[in-house]
Amino acid sequence: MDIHFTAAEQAFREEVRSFLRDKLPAEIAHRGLNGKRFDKDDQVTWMRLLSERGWLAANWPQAFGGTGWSSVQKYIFDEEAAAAGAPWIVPFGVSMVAPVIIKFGTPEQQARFLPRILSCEDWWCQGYSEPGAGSDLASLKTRAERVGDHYVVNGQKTWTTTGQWADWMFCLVRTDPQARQQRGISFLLIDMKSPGITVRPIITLDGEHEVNEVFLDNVRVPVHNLVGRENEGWTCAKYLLTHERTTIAGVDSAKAMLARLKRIANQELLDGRPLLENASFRLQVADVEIQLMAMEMGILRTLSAAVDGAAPGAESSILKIRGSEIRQAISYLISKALGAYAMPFLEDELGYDGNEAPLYTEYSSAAFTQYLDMRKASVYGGSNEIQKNIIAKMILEL
Amino acid sequence: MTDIIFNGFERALFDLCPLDQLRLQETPEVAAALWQTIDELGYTDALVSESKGGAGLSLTQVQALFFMAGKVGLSLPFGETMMARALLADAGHANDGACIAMARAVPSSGSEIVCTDVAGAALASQVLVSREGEWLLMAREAADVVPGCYRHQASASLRWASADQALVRFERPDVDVESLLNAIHAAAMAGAMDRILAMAVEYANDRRQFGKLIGQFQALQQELAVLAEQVCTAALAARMGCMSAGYVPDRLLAATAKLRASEAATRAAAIGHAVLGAIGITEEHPLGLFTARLYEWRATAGTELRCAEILGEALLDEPDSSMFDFILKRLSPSDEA
Repeated sequence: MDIHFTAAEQAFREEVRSFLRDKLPAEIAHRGLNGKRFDKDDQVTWMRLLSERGWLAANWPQAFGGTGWSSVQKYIFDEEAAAAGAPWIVPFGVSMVAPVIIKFGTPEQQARFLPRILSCEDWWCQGYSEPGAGSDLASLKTRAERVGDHYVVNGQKTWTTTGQWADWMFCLVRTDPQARQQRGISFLLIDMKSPGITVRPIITLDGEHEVNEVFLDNVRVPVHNLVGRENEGWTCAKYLLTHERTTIAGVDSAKAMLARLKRIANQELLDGRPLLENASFRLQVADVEIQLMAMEMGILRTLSAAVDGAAPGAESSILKIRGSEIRQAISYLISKALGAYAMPFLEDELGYDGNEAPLYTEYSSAAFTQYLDMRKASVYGGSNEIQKNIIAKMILEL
Repeated sequence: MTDIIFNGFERALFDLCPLDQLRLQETPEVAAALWQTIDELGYTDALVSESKGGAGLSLTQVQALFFMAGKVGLSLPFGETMMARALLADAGHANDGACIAMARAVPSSGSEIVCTDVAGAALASQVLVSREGEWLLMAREAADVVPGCYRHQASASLRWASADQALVRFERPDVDVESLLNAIHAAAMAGAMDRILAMAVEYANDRRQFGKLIGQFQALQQELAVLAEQVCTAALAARMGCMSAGYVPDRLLAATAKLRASEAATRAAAIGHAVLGAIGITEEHPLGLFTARLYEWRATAGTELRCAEILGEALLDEPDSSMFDFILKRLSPSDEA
């Protein structure tokens, strides 16, 4: 194992930095650095800029327009982008469905969908969870019946992130109700403009509309939108989830959040001195930073093993648990550092800048919303409890 | 336990505040109508002395009312209003049926009055503000308002240009607003946690994953047992926090109650949300209303740090007492209460 960066990797880091300096729009970076909301425009603007540079699809083979980066390069890119305040690369198209289409799709599907993902023309969403199938995903009930050259889909999906913006949904459906659990599931690509689709918002604790319920009522999906073989969609689903979990640790955004925490704790005063000089608070910041450094080493080890040819396996479950805990801890400390200044709810402030008023500061307005938003990190992507089950089974072999 | 005399109140509250209406009742218009009905139930003047038209009950006796309001999920500052009415009556002022929030003014050299993070302020028509021994009854309408982060529509930070705007002013330097709020909030928090426990148990006995009720998983059973312990100790501490023959609580007991409730609150919220999963962090489900209130109460008036400070300083002021003596002497409710 070698976890030092090579000279070529250092040079790459410089290249990424200079790209971010030149191309990342200042107002987007400002929102990112203060933990504020990005709207769809912000995210598409940034992804288009990356796409023009050929840097959008880090995990695709070059033949399809991928960057051809090593996992270490991708890691460096993510870290620099988060530190600069750039929006994340919305994963549903680029990082989730695309690898499945590349591995299991037909040449026609690849030619039809991949270029539009690369050019950010299509926004994708994920149709996995259902009201009765959360952690127990394989018990999903949304039914797809083959009628001629179409599937007729009926059912309900939930927790569909940014489904309100989506042009397409990749969807797990049951094609054989007789088969048990994982068998009998298929992976369908569904046009969100199809008749019979209703998207209903779910508002979360932070007041945000990010997730949705999607109702499918006799939705007709052409058979050629089936990816992989009928009844073998679970293979696609699992393949996709391992991709989701390797990046889900969020070490890049955790580092950016930690930098913000320190910035705030240096500006906020306690008894006339910067809060960061307070022994007790300093200890808490140090503690979370140590955890973050340890996780980063863990990720670099995993990456360096992957470079040597091993696929990341159950280790990604460890990283997911740790990563979500660390980001939750940092968001808590940011709110704590701001004390009463984190308390006012200023809806306009979350997206845009306003005048400073005595009850809050410029950098405080988004702190609490981000704190609430971070609560979901231990629930999504396979909840932390499910990750612990995986660790018990795959690593401890219990 | 004398709580049984309030069973009628609890039944009425459950009818008035069904779970599917709670979110709506966080909005000022709906809350105003609700307040009328609550006030007409006749419990709001329980702490006002009999000679002034109240029931003349002690804080010990009405603790159960605070608890019930928290458990039911009443959005309005009910306990604060009861306390404010007792204070106003003693100062010789008539009760006009208003719902009254309560807060301490942020210390300031200027003439303006600023109160941060006042629970239920946006739903109350008046706010009783304590400023350096003086009490000021302020019209909420006259204040600049910044919504609170936990309950955007119900709670707020407030600012008035001057104390001259007060509807009523009186001196009561002997009453510490922080202790009043600690006692009220600790009881309401214990009630809210009791409800969270009930919701979590109900959900665990209803939701199926992997072919069985999730309540049959040992991991969940352990979490629920921990939750029950937290709820139980918070409820006991809240009872102690309100042990007083009058309506003014003992400062140390109130701080103890609020500290215990606040420590329990984060644990209770975390376990409640863990059991209910994603649905609990949406507006589709009432759990988030209860946990948001817990967090708000925890951050308002006497925070954990403040309560621990009060207790720590009291202990250090008695260098001759052992910890055991201190607890026995200062943190055990007296018999008269």
